[in-house]
Amino acid sequence: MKTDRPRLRHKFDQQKLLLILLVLMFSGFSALRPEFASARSIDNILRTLSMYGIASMGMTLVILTGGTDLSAGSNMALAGVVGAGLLGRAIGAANPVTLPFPLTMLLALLVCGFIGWVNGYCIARLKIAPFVATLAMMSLSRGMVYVVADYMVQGVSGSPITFMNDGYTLLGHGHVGPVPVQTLLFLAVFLVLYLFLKYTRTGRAIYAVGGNQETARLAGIKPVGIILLCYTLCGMLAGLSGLILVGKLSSAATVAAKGYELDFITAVALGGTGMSGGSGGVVGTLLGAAFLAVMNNGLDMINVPSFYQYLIKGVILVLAVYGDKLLQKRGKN
Amino acid sequence: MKNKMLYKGYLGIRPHLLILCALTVLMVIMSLLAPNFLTGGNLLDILRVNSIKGIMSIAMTLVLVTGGIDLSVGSAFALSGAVTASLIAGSYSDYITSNLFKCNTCVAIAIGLLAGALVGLVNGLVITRLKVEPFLATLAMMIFARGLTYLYTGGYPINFKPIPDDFAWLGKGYVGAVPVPAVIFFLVAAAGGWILKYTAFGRLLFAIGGNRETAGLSGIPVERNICLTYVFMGVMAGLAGIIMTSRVASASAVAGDSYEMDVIAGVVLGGTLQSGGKGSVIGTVIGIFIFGIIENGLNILGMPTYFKLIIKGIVIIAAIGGRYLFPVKRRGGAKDENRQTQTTA
Repeated sequence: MKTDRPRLRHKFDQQKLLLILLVLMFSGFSALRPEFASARSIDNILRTLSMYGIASMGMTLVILTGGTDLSAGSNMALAGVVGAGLLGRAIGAANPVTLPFPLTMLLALLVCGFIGWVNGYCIARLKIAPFVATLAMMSLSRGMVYVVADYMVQGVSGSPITFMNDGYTLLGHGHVGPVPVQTLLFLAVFLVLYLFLKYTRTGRAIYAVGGNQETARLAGIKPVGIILLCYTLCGMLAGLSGLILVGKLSSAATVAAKGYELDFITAVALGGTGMSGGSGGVVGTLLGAAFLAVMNNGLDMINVPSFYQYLIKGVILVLAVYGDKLLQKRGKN
Repeated sequence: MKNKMLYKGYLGIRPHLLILCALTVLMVIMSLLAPNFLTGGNLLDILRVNSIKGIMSIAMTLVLVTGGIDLSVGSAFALSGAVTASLIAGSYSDYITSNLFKCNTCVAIAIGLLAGALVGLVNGLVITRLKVEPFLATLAMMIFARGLTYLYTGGYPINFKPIPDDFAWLGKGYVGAVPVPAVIFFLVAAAGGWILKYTAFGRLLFAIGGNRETAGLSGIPVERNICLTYVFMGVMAGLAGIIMTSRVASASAVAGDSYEMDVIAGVVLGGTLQSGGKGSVIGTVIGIFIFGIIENGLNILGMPTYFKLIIKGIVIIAAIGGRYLFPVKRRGGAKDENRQTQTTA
C-alpha cells in the first residue's frame, strides 16, 4: 500500500505533462494554420479520436492485466463484415438473411466479444503468452473476415461489402446537436470504464491481477475470470470501433484496420499505462488518443509530407515512454 | 560444416520431437493431397522462399531468448534492401537518391548491412539506456525506419537495368543444386545454433532472459549483450532484405511490411518462449518450415490464400497450448500447478 502514493503522484504528473503538450500542440497548429481550430476541423479530430479511442479503451483494460491484444485490428474488420454483411443490402449481396440495423450491430459485437473471450481463454487457461495468443488470433480473425465477406457478397474473393443504411450512416456521420454520435459513444465508454476501474471491486481486481497474478489469486481474486472479462470487453470495443469505421465509409473492406492494433497500443502507452500491467488507466488513454488524433490531423493540415510524419511519430513514441520512465524514477526518489 | 550440422542435430532434436512429428505428418498429408508436392523442384522452392524469413527468424530467436522482441525487422528489411539497391550499378528509379552514387556490389551490400546494424544499434541503445520496453522501442523503430525508407526512396521503387550478375547470384543463383538463399540460411542457422549453444555469449543470453536481475548481479554485462543481440537482428534483417531485393530485382519502401509477425510466429512455434530464457535455433527452423509448407501446400491445392491465415492461427494456438497441456518433458509439476489454478479459479 505504501508504494501507492508515489505511483499516484507519478500518474498525475504524466497526465499533466501530456495535457500541457496537447494544449501546446493544438495552439501551435492553430497558429500555423487558423483553419485548424475551425468547427469542421475539430469535428473531424473528434471523430477520428472517438473511433481510435473506443478500441484503445478496450486495449487499456487488456494492458492493465499485463497482456496485449494484437487481434484488435482484425476484430474491427470482422465486426465490419459481419455487421454490414448481415444487413443483406450490400451491392451483390448473396446471403439469405436480411436483418435490421440494431440486430446486425448486436451480432457483430457478440462475435467480437466471443473472439475476445477465446483470446482470454487461451491466455488464462492454456497459459499461452498474450502476445502469441493474440498474434494467432490476429491471423485467424483476419482469415474469418475473408470467409465471411466471400459468403456475404458475390464477386471477386475479398471484395468489400458496400451498402447504404441509415443506422450505419448515423453511427459514422450523425450528430446530436454539434457533437458527433461516435464521440458520445466514446465518452459513454470512457465514463463507464473510468467509474468501473475506480469504484467497483472487479475494476480494482484488474489492477491487482496486472500487478501480480499470484498475489491476486491468494487475495481471493479469480484471475481467470478477470482476464476473460478484459479480453472479451476489448474484443467488443474493438468491434464497436470497427462498426463506426464501416459507418464512416459505408463499406466494410476485408483489409480494413490492418495494423491499427499498434496505434491503439501506442495511445495506451502514451497515456502512461505500463506495458507490464497494474498501473495506469483510461484517463491517460483518453489523453494519449487525443494526442495522436491532434498530431495526425495537425501534421496533415500544415502539409508535412507523410514520410516525415513516420519519423516524427517514431521519435515521439520513444520520447513519451522515456519521459514516463523519468517521471516514475523521480516519483520513487 | 556438414559434420557440425549432424552434431547439432543429435544434441538438439529431442525436445523438438513433437513439432518435428507435426512437420512430418504435415508433409505426408500434403504429399497425399498434392501429388506434385514431393517433387524436387517444389521442395527447393519451399527452401528458397522460406530462407529469407528464416534468416531473420534465427536472429529473432536470440532476441526472444533475452526476453526482448523486435517489431522493426520488416522496416530494417526494407531499408537495407533500398540502400543496397540504390548503390549497385545498373539500378535506377525516379527519385534522386538511387542515381547519385554507385559502387562495387560487395561495398553496396556492406553499406546495406550497416544500415540494418544501425537500426539494431539504436533499438538496443533505446532499450538498454533509456529503459524503454522492447515492444514499444521497436514499435517506434518500425515506424521510424519505415519513414526513413520512404524518405530515402521517395516512395518510388528502385529497379535494375540490367541487374549485375554478381548481385543477381545472391537471390537467384545456385550452389550445386541448392539455391544461394538457402545456403546462406543454413550458414546463419548453423552460426546461430553454435552461438546459442556453445559460446559464452549465447549462454549469457539465456541467463539474461531467465532472470535479468540475477544475471546483472552475477557480473554479466547485460546491457552490452542485449545491444549486440539487437545489432545482430538488424544485420540479419538487412541481409534478408538484400537477398529479397536481389531475388525480385527491385527494392521498394513497402517491402517486408508485417514480416515481423510471420517471423515471430515461426520462432514461437519452434518453442522459443516470448518471456525469455528458453529457445533453440533448430526449433525455429522447424517452425518456419511448418508455416512454409502450409503456405506452399495451400498454393498447390489452389485454395484461397486466406485459408493460410486461419490455419496459421490454429496451428500456433494448438502447438503452444498443446505444449502446455501435454508437456513432452516432465517439468517440475507443471500439470499440478495447472490443476491448482483451475480448481481455485
